[in-house]
Amino acid sequence: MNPFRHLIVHFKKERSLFAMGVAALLTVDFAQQLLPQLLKLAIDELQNAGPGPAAARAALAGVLLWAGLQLAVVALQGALRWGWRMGFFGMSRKVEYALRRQLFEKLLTMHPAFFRKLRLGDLLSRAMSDLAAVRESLGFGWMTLIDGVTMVCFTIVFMVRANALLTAQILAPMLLIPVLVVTLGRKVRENQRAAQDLLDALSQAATESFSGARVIHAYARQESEIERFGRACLAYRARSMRLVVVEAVYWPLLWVLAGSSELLLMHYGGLLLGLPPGKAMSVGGFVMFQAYLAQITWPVMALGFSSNSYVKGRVSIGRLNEVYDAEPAVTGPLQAAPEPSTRQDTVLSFINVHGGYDAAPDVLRGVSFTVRPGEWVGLASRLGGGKTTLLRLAPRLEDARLGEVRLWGRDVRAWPLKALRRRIALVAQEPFLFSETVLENITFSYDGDPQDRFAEAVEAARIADLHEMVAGLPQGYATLLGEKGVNLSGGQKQRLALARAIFARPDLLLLDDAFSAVDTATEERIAPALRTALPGVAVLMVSHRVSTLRLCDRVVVLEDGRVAADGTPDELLQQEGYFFEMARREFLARRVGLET
Amino acid sequence: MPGGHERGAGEDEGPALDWSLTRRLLGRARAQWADLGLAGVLLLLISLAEQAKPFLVGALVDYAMATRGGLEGSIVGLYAACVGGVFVLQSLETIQTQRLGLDQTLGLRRDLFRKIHAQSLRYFDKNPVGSLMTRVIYDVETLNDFFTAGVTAVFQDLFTVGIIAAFLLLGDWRLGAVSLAMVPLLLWSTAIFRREARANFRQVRRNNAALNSFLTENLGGMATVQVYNREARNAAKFDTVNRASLDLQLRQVRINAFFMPLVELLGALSVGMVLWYGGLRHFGNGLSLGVVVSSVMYAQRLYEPLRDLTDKFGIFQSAMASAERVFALLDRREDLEDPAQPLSAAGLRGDIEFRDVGFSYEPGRPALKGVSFRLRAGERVAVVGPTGSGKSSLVNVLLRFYPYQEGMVLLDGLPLESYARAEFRRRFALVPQDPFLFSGSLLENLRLSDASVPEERVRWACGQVGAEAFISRLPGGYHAELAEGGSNLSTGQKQLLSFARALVFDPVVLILDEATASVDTATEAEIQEALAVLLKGRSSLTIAHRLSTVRDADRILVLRDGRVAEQGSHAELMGVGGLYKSLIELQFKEQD
Repeated sequence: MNPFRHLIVHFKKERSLFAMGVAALLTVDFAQQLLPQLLKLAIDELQNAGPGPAAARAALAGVLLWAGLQLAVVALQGALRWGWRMGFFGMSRKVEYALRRQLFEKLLTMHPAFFRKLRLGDLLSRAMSDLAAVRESLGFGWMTLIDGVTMVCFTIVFMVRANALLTAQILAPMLLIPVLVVTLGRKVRENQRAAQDLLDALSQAATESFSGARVIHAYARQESEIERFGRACLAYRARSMRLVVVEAVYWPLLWVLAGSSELLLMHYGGLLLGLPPGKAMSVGGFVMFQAYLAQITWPVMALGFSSNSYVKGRVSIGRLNEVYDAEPAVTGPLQAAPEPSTRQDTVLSFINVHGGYDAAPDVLRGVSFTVRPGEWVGLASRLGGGKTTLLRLAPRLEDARLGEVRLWGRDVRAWPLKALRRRIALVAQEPFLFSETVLENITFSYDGDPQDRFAEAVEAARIADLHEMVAGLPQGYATLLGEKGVNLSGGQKQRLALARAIFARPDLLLLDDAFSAVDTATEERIAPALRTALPGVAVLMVSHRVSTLRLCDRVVVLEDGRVAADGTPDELLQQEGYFFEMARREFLARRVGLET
Repeated sequence: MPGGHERGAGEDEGPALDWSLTRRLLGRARAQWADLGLAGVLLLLISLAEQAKPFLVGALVDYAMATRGGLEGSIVGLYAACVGGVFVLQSLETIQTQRLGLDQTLGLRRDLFRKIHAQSLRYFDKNPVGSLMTRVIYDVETLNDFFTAGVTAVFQDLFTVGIIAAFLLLGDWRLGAVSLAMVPLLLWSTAIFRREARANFRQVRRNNAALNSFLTENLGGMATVQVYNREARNAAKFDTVNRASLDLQLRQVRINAFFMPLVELLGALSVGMVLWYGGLRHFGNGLSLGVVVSSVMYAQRLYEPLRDLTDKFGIFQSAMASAERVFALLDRREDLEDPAQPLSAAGLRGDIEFRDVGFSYEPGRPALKGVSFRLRAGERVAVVGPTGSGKSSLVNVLLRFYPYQEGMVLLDGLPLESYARAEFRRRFALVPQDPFLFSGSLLENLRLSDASVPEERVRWACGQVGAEAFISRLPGGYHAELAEGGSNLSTGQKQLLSFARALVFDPVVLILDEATASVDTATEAEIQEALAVLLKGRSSLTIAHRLSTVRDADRILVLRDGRVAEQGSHAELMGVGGLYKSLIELQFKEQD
């Protein structure tokens, strides 16, 4: 497969910009060839002027003319430079923008399992540094390649036209430069990488040593730590020194090659200057050759660098393709069947559900139970008993490995994803809020202007017992959350997430230990309000508090991945089992004054 | 993510040069001033050899025309000497300055590392590990850049401009003056350009930060975005930030596209003026063509170093920000100090007494209040209490990880402060709840990289705690490499290694924070056996989570809200039927 396939799509949209850039660059490079010629003409005027003030005046007028033309050429180049800068750098920036946009839009379709595999830091570095490397190879890479080739070709043509023999005599060392950049340059890069690896190791050693400060200080091993870190520093220094030695040869060698061409020009050009009049090269001609040599030194070096930038860009586009080509693990049907009736006596049903995360073994091993409209069902189990996994099956944040989850009697996998998720709201134990205003957070499920729904947002906040707190903030519902705004406490965050869920008006509300940071008194205020405000809404809630679970109509206890008990809280309290044990411990804890 | 390391906001807005910081940086290099001088001389010679070239071109022109075959050979020879000289000098200079930079880096890193480890744990609580690492690694790297890429380049540029000016003025001072006439204009226009570019660049950086945090937030909260069907809306929001970034970048391209040609135009103007005025002097005063030629070449060469000089601004700015952070750390006073003449801890018996000790991590929020107890040499004391009751604080005070504010802690009847921390801690051993393992070999982990501890001692300790069996099954045995955090070992194995580590150092006092993690019965039995070996004949203070531990303890301290609520043996406290009894029922693993 062509590694550039995604890139090409965006590049094609900018091809006219790119074509303009190439045209402008070619013109600038061509115009560049005129400058040494004009310099030659001006100096020749001085050399060839006859005796007498009149001849001198004429020569000076000629100098002025050539100098003026020189200015005109540079001005023209300046105007065209805008064209090639936009053509290469503007084009590469636009492609970068489009690639980044595509990347984010792709990520929006990806399943949680994908984000467990590719971590945040990794994705960020793809979105930032890898894209930068691709842009670099597209803009700088193309520019240096095209500029290098045309500049060298044009210049050689003009030099040959002026004096083919002299050109042949002096140019060889200069043309070795790109070869050296590619060959010795690779060695430089290898050494740079090796030194960088040791620096990374050094930063890891420091990180680890500071993380282990408690142990190190407890055993009074600071001195040996310092010695150990010192040794790592020395290793880094030694490795860096090897890089320095390679670089101390590399760069001077590039310059000495350029210098050798100059030197050859001094020798052969000097001979030509000294020939008898008529056969001799003019001073202007000699200076012109000096100028030609000077103007190709940078392009021949850059020619070598463009190959580096290509290599880097290719690696980075490969890493980006991994995201572009990833398959979303969860998709709904494209053709939506008519939505099922909501006049049924079961909202949600689990039928022999098996499941777990990623490659881990099943935590759910055949769970079956149902939730009726308006019913509150509590879910209890030991730590790691699969409660959260079970909740995440309903909005398809995970899929069951075996068995079926049904909403309104239809398999959740047969629902279009968006339609399914419109009917379900989930409040996590550590809810994720965005650094936007309180209002924007509550109206998160509404696509329009949040102000349109201000009244509903306030209503939702009231039910979640949040309104008074928000109203007390200096900017009320317009208060920003997060770093630039206020930091909410854990309980406030949970209540805000609850308001967000209430606002979404779901058929099914999933609460994953959503009151864990809310004190018992507040919780006992919220729950009845929630019940009155959302009469038909079914609630499935996970909690580790018996006091919370007692608010439910039914409690389902999971053990060993199966339903171990299912009944009203009072019924369950009558029998030995996990729920009874929970209640006993909670009672004890309260007696010794511990919040659970 | 190097490069993105926690740069303070306003990094690119600070001063480019702060004299007091620069003086301190130079002061640290005092021992190498001779080497620095040598580097300076090399830079000067490089500029001289490089800038002699136009002069030689001019001379060649004059001699070739005047003598028709005389001194050209020597001039070409001199040119060859310049080319070769630049090669040799540049190599030497690179090695010289880079070596100096690396030496400075090495010294600075060691000093910072030592300084950080001299701090109390309070410092580690307040400063995230990442930012400490940034100080030691990346700030120092920035300072190295400042020296090797900043200061040397500035000197090189200044030398170059000076030498060019000298050659120009020595050739013909009037023509020289004309050639230099554009310099102020060049400097002025590049300065304006830099200012524009910098202002835009600041915005680019702010926007990049916004892009970064938008991505961080949205990727982190992706499940929420998806569950509430917000994909389209957030894609649109992202597009706003992404497009703003594009616009700023395009603006940067346009700024460059405008100013670069402007500066080149000034250069062309300068060359034109030299040609014309040089011609005037040529005809009027017989100024040689060679001088005109070399003056033209010098005029063309002036721009490069001037542009480079203004380029260095950014490097200087971030170096100053780094230097400030680095020196702030080096200047930090330690909040715990050892006595000038510490008592010897060599013959320590391990008798500990707390007398009305009060301690808080932050003023106004006491973690321990009036705690008094005695642990006689050889005794076992167990500490129990609900979460947050002050158990860990007790350990933190006893090991002098933090300074305490009230009362007195006595070690063998003398104040804890009269011992040097390193001295008395060597007679203690801490077995933390979650054993901390370093990456590296198992052996180095157990002797904590202290080469003076023989391998036999480590083997013996492992034998004592019964860790030998599983170690011998590891590939490489004692030399097996442990993964970060020991993730290739089981919880029980890590416990045993933690015991072995304590035993290696043969402590007088053992401080044990029992693990709460559950292990299977067989492992539990192994741990119990190892514990018995470890505790034998030592004073010990244990934060207990096991019933057997509290039952075997000589005395139990029950903490609640930072106070000693109950104190006594297991039987006594069970008899009282207070907090202890409830805790036992609630929190302790029911074994036996």
